[in-house]
Amino acid sequence: MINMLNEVAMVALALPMGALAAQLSQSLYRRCRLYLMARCIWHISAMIMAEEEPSDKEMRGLRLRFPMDLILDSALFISERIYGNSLNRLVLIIEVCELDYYLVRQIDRRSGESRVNNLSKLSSLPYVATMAEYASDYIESDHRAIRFHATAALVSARPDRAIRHIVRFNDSLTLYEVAVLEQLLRRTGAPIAYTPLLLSENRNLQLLGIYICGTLLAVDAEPHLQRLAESEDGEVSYMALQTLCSVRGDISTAQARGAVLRLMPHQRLSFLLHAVQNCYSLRSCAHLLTAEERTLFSQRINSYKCRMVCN
Amino acid sequence: MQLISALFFALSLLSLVGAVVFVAVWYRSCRLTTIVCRMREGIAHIGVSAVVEYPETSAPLIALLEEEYPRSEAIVITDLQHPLHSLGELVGRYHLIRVNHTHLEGVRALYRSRHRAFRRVVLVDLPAEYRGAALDVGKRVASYDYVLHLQGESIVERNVITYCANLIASQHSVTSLSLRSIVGSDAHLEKATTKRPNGYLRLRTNHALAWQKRGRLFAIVALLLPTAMALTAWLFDSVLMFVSAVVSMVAVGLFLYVSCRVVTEKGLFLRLDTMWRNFYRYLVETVRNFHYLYKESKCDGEELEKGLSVLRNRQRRDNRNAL
Repeated sequence: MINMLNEVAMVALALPMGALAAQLSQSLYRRCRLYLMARCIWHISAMIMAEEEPSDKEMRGLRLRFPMDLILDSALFISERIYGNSLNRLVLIIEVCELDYYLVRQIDRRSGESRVNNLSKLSSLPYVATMAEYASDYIESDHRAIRFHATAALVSARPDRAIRHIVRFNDSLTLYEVAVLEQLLRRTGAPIAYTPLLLSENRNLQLLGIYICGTLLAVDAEPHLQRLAESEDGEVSYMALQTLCSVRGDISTAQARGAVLRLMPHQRLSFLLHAVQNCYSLRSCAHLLTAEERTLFSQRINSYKCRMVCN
Repeated sequence: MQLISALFFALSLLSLVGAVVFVAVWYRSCRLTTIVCRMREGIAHIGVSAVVEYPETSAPLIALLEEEYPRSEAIVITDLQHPLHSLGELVGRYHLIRVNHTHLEGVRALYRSRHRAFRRVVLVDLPAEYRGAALDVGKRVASYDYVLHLQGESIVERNVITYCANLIASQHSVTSLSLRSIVGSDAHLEKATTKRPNGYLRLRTNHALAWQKRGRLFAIVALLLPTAMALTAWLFDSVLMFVSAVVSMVAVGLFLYVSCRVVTEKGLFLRLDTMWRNFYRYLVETVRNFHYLYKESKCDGEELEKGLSVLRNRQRRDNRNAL
């Protein structure tokens, strides 16, 4: 009996200890990696900021000092924070260290979420147009996220063919995916023409166009947004209406009124909040709202005003 | 005795299955987070308001102010006349001014910041008697669609709101979704603009040892069950009971491991500290709940009316003093 009790006690002690040991080892690993990454970032930044261009030997030296995945993560970290001519030197480092080939090998070897992760890294690497053709192998993948990130990599590498690649993506884009594509287009520095996107019949292109209008606060796109607010696709209509609100467009038109009438109750309230945020007055929204919503709207507006009268 | 042993064995197997499901949910939400959570900028009109209910210090607010997501705000609901909570200094520190709040029942005062750097800070002075309606008040004050509800001293980790916004944006329709607990304890996210179930997004944290309302009972059972089994095995010298105790300990170990990883990612000692603090808070809250229960049983309708009239008078006096 005492033996059994001892064994139970041993298990009771061993399990939390094992859990804590696993935690500790993981914590140590993470800290070591963060330290190494900080050093790697420092080395790459020094090379980028140096007056003279670093030699190939110096750049290859990074591969001896740090693991490849860490150099890749550091390069991505830096690429998100610099622009202009500094990027050219980073591209040089990527080519000399063969980070792009390493990434492509990783994409081939891994599967599932790891492949998604690596494809998204490929889309974030600057100026690796030659590598983009590897991403085209995964456009027909069964995994939706892989399909999308392969498309994103292609869009990033060849922004002039972005529309073609987005049209080839058959699934409906979510708002997050639209935001990723918009960010990639913006980072490549290519001129973003939103009018052809808004005039397109393709739903994904319409969503992207609307999103770009919202980001750039494109006031001149208001007629197109009014037209898209009438769209039969609920998501496009809702996005167009919200963006119309963001660009401070006229929401008293028949198209906007029709779009508001078609909204679900929670979407109406969400739209109302958005209108308050964008400084619309009660008078400009009164015809869109019910009596109850009007009260709510005025209360919301008043709750942003300084209290002047005592009750 | 055999029947009891079999029952305990079934219970321990059930807890093991629960632990495995817990790990699977956690792993799935981990994968989801790695796929979708990359955008650091504002995503269209999606915004999240974090509502902190009755914190004792300003630490939760400071953690929320470190958030980088542009369409976010921190709403602190507190009782400024509470003798123990000294959050009155927030008014001066964040340049808060009183704004109109006539539509909010029970609220003494509503403050928003006039300083551009702290434009996300909102302070609601709500008497502790209205504690039950705090979330509702938070939703009515919130500027954005989604509300991240935090209680007490829950300190969220960095970029939690960014993650939440990314997860919301990655959904086509509004559906329920398991979320890896990237936030501290006692947190859930819901849509502020609706109460209807079909338009309802609820991102719940799935960690049993974070002492959520439902999780508390489960956590106690998870801790007491192996102890009871070990004691019974010792008393009656039962092998089946011994096996049950070991199985349930494995289950608890799995829960403990994932919960440790889930509660916070900042460091080992902080994790342990969070767990101990949660346990301590649980004990304090239990005692406090019993205290309130005892008080409410003595309170009849007339006393409630009297109390409310006192509150109204105090509110009027406060308003006069504010001018």
